[in-house]
Amino acid sequence: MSEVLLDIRGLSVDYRSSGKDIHAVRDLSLYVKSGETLGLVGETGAGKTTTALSILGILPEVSARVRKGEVLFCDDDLLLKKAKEMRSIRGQDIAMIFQDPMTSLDPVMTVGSQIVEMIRLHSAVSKKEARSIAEGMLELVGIKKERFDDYPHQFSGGMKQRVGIAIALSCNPKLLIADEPTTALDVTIQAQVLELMKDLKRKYDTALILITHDLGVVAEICSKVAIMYAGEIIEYGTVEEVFNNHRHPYTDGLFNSIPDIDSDQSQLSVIEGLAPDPTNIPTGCSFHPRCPYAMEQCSEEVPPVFYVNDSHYVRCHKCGFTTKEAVE
Amino acid sequence: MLVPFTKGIQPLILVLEDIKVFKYIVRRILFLIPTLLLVSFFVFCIIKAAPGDPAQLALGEGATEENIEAKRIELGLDRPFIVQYLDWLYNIVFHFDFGNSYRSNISVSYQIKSYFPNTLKLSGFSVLLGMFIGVPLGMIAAVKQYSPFDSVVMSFAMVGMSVPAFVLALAMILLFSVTLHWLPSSGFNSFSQMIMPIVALGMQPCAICARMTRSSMLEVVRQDYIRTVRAKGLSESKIVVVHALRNALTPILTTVGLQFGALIGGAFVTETIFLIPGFGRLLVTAVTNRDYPLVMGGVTVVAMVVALTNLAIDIAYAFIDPRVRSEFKKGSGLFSHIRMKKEIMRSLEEAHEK
Amino acid sequence: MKNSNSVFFETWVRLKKNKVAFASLWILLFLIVVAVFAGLIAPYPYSMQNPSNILQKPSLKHIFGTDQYGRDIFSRVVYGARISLSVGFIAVGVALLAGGFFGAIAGFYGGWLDNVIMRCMDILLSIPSVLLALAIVAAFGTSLPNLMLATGVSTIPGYARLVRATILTIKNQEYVEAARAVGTNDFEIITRQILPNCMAPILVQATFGVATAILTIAGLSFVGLGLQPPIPEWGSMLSDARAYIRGYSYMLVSPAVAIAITVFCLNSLGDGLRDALDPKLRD
Repeated sequence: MSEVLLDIRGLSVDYRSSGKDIHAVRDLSLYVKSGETLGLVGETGAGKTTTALSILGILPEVSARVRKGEVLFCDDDLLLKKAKEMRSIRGQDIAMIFQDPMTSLDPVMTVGSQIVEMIRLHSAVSKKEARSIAEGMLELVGIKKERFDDYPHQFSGGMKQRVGIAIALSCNPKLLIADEPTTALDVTIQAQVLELMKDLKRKYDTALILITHDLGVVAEICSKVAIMYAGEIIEYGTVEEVFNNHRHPYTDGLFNSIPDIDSDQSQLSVIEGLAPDPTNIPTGCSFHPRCPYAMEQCSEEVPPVFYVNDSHYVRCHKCGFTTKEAVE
Repeated sequence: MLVPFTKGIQPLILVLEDIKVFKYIVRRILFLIPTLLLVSFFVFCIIKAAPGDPAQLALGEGATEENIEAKRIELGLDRPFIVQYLDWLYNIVFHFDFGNSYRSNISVSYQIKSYFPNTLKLSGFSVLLGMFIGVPLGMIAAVKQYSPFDSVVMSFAMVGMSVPAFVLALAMILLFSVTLHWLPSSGFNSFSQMIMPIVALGMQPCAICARMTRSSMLEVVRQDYIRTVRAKGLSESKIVVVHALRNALTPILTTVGLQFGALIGGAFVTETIFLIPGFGRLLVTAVTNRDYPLVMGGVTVVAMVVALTNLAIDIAYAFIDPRVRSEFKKGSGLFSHIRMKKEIMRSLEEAHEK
Repeated sequence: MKNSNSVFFETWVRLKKNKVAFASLWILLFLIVVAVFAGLIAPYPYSMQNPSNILQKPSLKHIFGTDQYGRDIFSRVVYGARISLSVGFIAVGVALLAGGFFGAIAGFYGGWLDNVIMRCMDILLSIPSVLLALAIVAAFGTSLPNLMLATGVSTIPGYARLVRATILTIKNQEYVEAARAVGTNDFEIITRQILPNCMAPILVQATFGVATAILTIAGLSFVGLGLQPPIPEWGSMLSDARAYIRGYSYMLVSPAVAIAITVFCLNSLGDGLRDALDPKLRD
């Protein structure tokens, strides 16, 4: 019986830059049940990281504003919480792993003490106990506990990311948000870190939002996937549904652009055009300038949410058909 | 608030236990010697290049040829250049004897020893004042970037940097001594005597510290690891003090060290105004009187103090930043410590005032 | 490589946004005009004594009052602008040329020449600037060229490093090789390819350098080791005013304000230039 852990409804986030408003996230809704893994897929600039930071409430204060929406965590709206309450939720109930391990750890503190800091922030344990818990976490992520007193610069990128994972999981959070955790790593290390995450997920039964632009990673580890484009979720469903029965032309384009080792391709197929300038998002459906199936309606009306079935929805005017059918 | 300090002791023990770093420190101290030798030689050359005959200057007018000649031999001016230099050097190193003042014939080192402590006190307190006021102001300005507080602090800092110490000193004397009769305008013994010179001299270091702290903190606060720490749920004040400040400390310390060195050299104007019996005034008198042994001794001593200050700062880096400790182990060239510091300064100047 | 005209225009626009720096620029230009036309602006010669008119408070006849010899303080401040600005600019100019020259050959030819030059620069750097100035003054006296040397010498390493660093980054790039292949000689390469690239930071350093030079000269003159009377250097004027601080405090105000404003404007302009010339655009 898994209940809904995180329920985002209609979230809109703007950035203010040189007098202009950038609509980074527009009317976004998704939900994650406890123990579930949701993949959040999209190009750079689609709004994935902004969504993650909004959940934790650590958007840059000076430039970012949540315009509207609700972020319900265990039925509690996080956007309405006071600062002190949020601080207690961060790390303890919701934790985050960041993208670039090379710069995500404080260079002047030992890795062990950074884990201890997290532990002592959320539980009243003695220094000794915290240290042994931290050492346990290090071992869990595959780092020898003797390296407790080493500094971040003494570790490789992959190991630094493992430390990041150790920090994030040390208080056993209900929800873990991983922002492109393997993008900055070598492919072989990527595989290791992913394996580690799968293991830990199983062990701790943590819900996971995995932000990535790599569909292969999604296939490996996620049960649900949301495709983001220009600040909106344009397709959402289980991995089986979206991978085998995707409806949105953008999703189609994404899958088609993955080179197929079995077929005889002379050229990589790409989606025509470029991702839209966040200050100048196209009217109607934001994808219409690049969409091979665009109709007049697409440039005029914002497409509604269409439920293909219970667990699969799409934002598209052509959504009633599969993309093959749409051509006919 | 004690947390950052107790956390600081941990690396201190680590550093001292680490033989390699200890060896590095010893090596750096040894490398100081060639630096000072070169500096002293340089100063010696400049002074020796001066026109005029020191013997004649010492005796003043009305001295006969024979007297002058005798004086020259007495002062050892008939010997070859190198011999004079080496002899001078020998006396400094082994006897701390810089010779005697031409004018008064009192030992130079005695004079330096009598006057230097006052200057050290003045410069030291000024820099400390500057640091204890400037750094917190800079920190708050950085945290509250773009707020009115930020603009006000930065404007004051700009003004503070531009008004020279002696102008401020004169203004303070005008206000507090002449008009209000609250404070005495000379001397350096009682608190009320000391407060004006220290504040006047401390204004510039304060302003520079504030600006440097602000830009360094702004640089640090933008880093990814601050975001990671925030995601842990740490409170803003802890983030600033425990994480941001420690990372921002290196350039701030560099600035403080450089300010101290600059003040030791530049305090002479303030000392003149407040009639403080300090080293700066001594040096000015020496220069005015063309009292070469005193000038040479003075400049060399100051260069030594400045070099030692820089060394102390460089060693302090090892305590703060563990990455520097690894760099130390790799070894260094003769002047790499200067280069390293200049590089840090330069990279922070580039990031200045964002 | 950017068209130098467009860089200049861009910089100008960005500088305009910084109101303080922009205002400082105009104030400085005004001061330069005052300095150049001091002879026309000052109502009296700066050394004209008038024993019957000593220590007069500011009045219509003498806007800033007169000093202990009856000299008009306003005229002295105006001429003082010429003195301070010219010493500052020349000292910086000479240091720039010397430093740039040494840095250029050090960077360009490398090898032992580079090493020797940079070691000399490091020695210069280890002596605090004011002390070096004092030593030079002690040795060579307080004539104007000496003072310019004294104030400028300690800034030479700064320019040398800048130019050398620029050369090292650019030396091996393709357009330099292309220029060589066409037959451009070394000197032309340095002036045409290298210099435009380091103009910006040099300009910023030079602006701050003038401010520091003015402060150093004022300090030295204040203690009598700078420009000698009756030359109306602002620092010496402050020194004179000090003796009369009780009762004649107006003598203090004008040179003090003059120094403060000039240095403040130079510092603000330097700051503004640094921000405006920064290739990383600000948000």
